[in-house]
Amino acid sequence: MSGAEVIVRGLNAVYLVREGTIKAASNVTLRVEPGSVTALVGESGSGKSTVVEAITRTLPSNAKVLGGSVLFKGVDLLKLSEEEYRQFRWREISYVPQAAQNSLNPLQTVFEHFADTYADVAGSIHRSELYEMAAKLLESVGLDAGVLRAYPHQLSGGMKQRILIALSFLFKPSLVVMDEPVTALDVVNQSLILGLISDLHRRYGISILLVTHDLPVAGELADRIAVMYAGHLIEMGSNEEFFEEPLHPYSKGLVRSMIAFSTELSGVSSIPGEPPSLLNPPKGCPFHPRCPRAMDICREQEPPLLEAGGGRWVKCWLYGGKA
Amino acid sequence: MRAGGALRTVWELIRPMLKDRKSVFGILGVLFFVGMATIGPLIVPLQIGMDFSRRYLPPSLEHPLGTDYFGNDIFQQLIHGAPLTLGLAVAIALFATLIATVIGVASGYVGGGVGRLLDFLTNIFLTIPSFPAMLVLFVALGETHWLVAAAVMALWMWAGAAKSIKATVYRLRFAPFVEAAENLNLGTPHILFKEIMPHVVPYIFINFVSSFRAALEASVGLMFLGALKYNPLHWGVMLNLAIFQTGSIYIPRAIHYPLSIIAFVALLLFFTTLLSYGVEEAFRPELRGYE
Amino acid sequence: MSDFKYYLRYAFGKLLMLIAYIFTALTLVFFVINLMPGDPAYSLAVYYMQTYNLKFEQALEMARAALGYDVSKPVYVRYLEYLARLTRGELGYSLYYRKPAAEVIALSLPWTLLVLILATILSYTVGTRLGVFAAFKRGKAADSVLYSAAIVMLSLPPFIIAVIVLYALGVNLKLIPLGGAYALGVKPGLNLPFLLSVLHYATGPVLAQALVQLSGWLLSARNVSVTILAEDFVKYGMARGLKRGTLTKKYIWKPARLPILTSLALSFGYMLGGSTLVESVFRYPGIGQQLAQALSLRDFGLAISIFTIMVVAVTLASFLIELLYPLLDPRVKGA
Repeated sequence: MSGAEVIVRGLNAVYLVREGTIKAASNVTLRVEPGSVTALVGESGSGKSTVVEAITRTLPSNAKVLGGSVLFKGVDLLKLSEEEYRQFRWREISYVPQAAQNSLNPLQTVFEHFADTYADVAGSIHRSELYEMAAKLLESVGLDAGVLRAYPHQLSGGMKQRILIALSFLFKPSLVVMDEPVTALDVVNQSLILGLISDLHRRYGISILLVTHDLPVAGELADRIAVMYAGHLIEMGSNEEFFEEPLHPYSKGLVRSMIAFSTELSGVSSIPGEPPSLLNPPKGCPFHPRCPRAMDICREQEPPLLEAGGGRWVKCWLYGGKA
Repeated sequence: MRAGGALRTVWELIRPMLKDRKSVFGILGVLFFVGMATIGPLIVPLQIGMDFSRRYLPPSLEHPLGTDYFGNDIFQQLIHGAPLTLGLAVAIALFATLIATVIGVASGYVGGGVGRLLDFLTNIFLTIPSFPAMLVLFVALGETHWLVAAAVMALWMWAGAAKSIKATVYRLRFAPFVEAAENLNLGTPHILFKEIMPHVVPYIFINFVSSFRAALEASVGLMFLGALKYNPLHWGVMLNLAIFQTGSIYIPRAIHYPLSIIAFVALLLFFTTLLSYGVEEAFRPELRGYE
Repeated sequence: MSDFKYYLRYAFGKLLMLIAYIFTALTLVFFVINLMPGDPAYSLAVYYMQTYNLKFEQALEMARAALGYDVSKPVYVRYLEYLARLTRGELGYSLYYRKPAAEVIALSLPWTLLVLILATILSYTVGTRLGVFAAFKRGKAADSVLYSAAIVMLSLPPFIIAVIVLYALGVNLKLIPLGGAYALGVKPGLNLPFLLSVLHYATGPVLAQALVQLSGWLLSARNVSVTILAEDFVKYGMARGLKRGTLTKKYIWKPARLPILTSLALSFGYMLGGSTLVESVFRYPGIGQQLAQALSLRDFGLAISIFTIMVVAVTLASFLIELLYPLLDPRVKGA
């Protein structure tokens, strides 16, 4: 089993709500390299969940994909029917959801979760065989096999998170999408789970798309960093290059405020202002109202995604591009 | 100044209700019946006699809903019965809401042993089947003044409302702004009336409307069975006459008689239910059926 | 094994509550009747005088006996006598039937129970299925139609639905009989003609009661399902590729059943109360109709006995449901 490549190209998605249309994803292009851990970083409302929902086909009923493609193993996932996508669901692409606390069915034991998933995705299997399989999976995430007989309300947050991770590996998929896997946990559990994810990645070499708003977490786990802001993918690059020299003014601000915890607070600022409303986004570059280096063209036209050398991409007029 | 404030509170109550189709429909329907009860008797005359030759006449221009067993116009009777039917239900609802508010607020605010005792009492009244209880009571009481009857009926209707009011008050009691007021030593009357009550008012209103609906159903039901003696123009008594006393439902050509009464009662209850649902959803958006 | 002990403790606690409830309820009944202003025995005595052609003193005595209301004895003495009678199982005496009330009730209670059980099964199965269906189709035409129909039905009280059913099926289409529990000339017993006749005669009341409750089940199932469908664990289940059938059964149905189940006791209570109306309309000889009839004949001995049985029945029903709840929800281990 090895990791597969995912290429999201020009994804445009909106949510229809009472007040209007929310432009959740605007022309998002990003690439998950095979076998890598790619972190998708952004504040809440930046559109990262939308990208995840598009890839895992878990978009809510009021969401509409207006354009773009998600290429995976030579297939555009967005163009598949639900039946066709079923071939990929959980077998090739699995998902660790954000709400670990409430994602397990309160009336079913942990084992029943494994059993139902296996039955509906792969078919029938001998109960004892599946039990062994599930026990091994739990073991690999550091849990005792006895947990299989427990009900969710008997388990701690950290344990539930591990179970979700174990479940995601049930069919040894090529891509695992993890949505804020450590956000809801305390500091101790956080570092344990991060270690676990790193461990699993080393062992199985799958592609992991890690979604988080926590830049240090991304820094610790990811090979590549992709940053989203107000529904746009604004920068992508390798971990080292990104943290050494972030390109986009927003990324600069992010990295600077992160470093504040380890160095002095003076000379460091948080980014003034607030992210724009996605109901009525501003013209041009989404960051221009807060950008210290905004130019006239930034206010008028949305910058294209420009290559800034060797696998680095940035969506900013400062780095070239023609109007 | 004061009048303006009161008017604004009324508007604050009404405004959310106008947003939803259900409650608008309900308001219009109920207003129609209220109009019928208030203005109707002034416009439509009432001629009661006993002319068996005109018995069970089918609906016509002269008699829009036909005539009954005694040859009297059904439409006239229904119109003149409207204020009785609605008035009694309003009285019951007022009593019930009053009791519910007092008990609900007391049990929610005071808590502890008193609260638990009141809870227990509330649950008892919730468990005892109210209709048979009222049935037995009224037959045992015999002839009573209508206000007394209303009070007795209210006795069996306050329990549900008290529970919901108690829950609200209990919730609010631990709200930060209440704690702040307590710390500032603002005194119990102030906390109760100025801080908590304004939030409880919508719930009192919701419960009043549903009590009104339940009161209508109960009062008509009791008179239908003949347990409560009241004016023969009350729709419940009319129904009793139509079904049990005259057996008109078994007579094909007389079917317009019970059917008209049923239609009026059903329509009124329908609009009241609509209003009740609409009011509840207006003040508690989490219950909305659609988004 | 400790789970079982928890449950026993829970059950015992509920049993105590049950006894407390029944005790308080019956005490309340007693005191309300006995402490009402005026002397209800008086108007009752007048009635007896006229109906049974008695002298007033005799009538008054009978009235007092019927109501258990003897002003010559102080209230607490009467109360203790009342309690003593109840514990002996003596429910009172029916003046009309000239039999102990318990006998009359024993004959009519089964009919009411038959109707209520059938009506509950019918309305619950149909109503909850329609409700879950509506939740899946939320926002679409099917949901609006069902929701509106449910509200219309909900607004109609039991006696109106009963009259409409009686008229539509009984008078108009002549499909159901107009009174009685079974046809004349059919021999009671475990034979087919009798059973069929019983079902035939029960159709009216069962249908009426079921229609009353149906919309309640529909709406509550719908609301519960809508909430559940929005839950994270349902979304996660869908993300894992669980099939529609599995989701419906294990993710929606199972959690939805529990809150709905607790309303069974409420529904039972409401139907029992409504039975006085429904059975009277259909002239069906259950305890509801007996109560109404007893009251119209001022047979208080019987009436209050029936009422007592009703109170006990309803409290018992909710007690049983509460016993059942922890067995179905693993989260509640009788805490």
